[in-house]
Amino acid sequence: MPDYDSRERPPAPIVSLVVTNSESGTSIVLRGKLDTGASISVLPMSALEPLELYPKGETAIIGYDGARTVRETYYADLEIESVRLASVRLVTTSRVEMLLGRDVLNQFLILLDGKALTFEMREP
Amino acid sequence: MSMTVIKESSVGYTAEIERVKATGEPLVIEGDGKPLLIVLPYAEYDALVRQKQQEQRKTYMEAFERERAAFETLKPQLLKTQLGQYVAIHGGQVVDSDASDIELAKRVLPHYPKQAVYIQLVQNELPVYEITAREELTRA
Repeated sequence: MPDYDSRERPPAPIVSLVVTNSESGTSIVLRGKLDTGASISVLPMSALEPLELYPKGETAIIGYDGARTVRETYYADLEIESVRLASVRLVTTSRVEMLLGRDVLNQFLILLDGKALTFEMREP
Repeated sequence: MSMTVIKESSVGYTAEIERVKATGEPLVIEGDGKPLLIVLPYAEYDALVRQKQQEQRKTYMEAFERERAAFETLKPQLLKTQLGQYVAIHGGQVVDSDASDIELAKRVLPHYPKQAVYIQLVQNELPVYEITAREELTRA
């Protein structure tokens, strides 16, 4: 079982994943924080250029502070713990890592063992 | 930009490559009297790649804006005929629709590689999602 990332305060479940632009075939490895508070998954803006990813739509986002902004949407494939999810809808922010929102998390069986700072994430 | 040309018969390229590193001037490698390869300082190559990517992005975004504008033009009619459906706009027209944008993207995007496609839900307002995490992380 993967360990929580203890660099986060408090420690957080963060998984390594592969993001692929199916149009160009380019892939990068990123870290993704499991975030049940997000209803959409978030890609670091800095990943757009290496992935050669272009927008395919737009959506409204309500942030943690209640502010509403319009963001472009992207579609990319994610591979998490050997599970491949095709054409996942993503928005971008200036974060340094991905946020895996409920749209992605709901595809998995997830066991968070906060006491032991480990977690399990697999196909149900 | 001046260039140094060397032939296939040149004995080793080390000295020439050292000159590229020192002067920043590109090195052309010929075969059968024709230019085959070019050796550039990496910074120069990187700048060329970035310039090409920026030009591609600009071209794409102009096309993307046209598709978005087409959606807005078509929207009054789509609200009557495809309310609650996601539509994919390409070439100013609806090319496909689906109740799921994910399924629509899986089906439509492979047909238009690296071309502008605008996928949007047909309703009066944009769909809304929430992100409750702060934008910046505080690390130990």
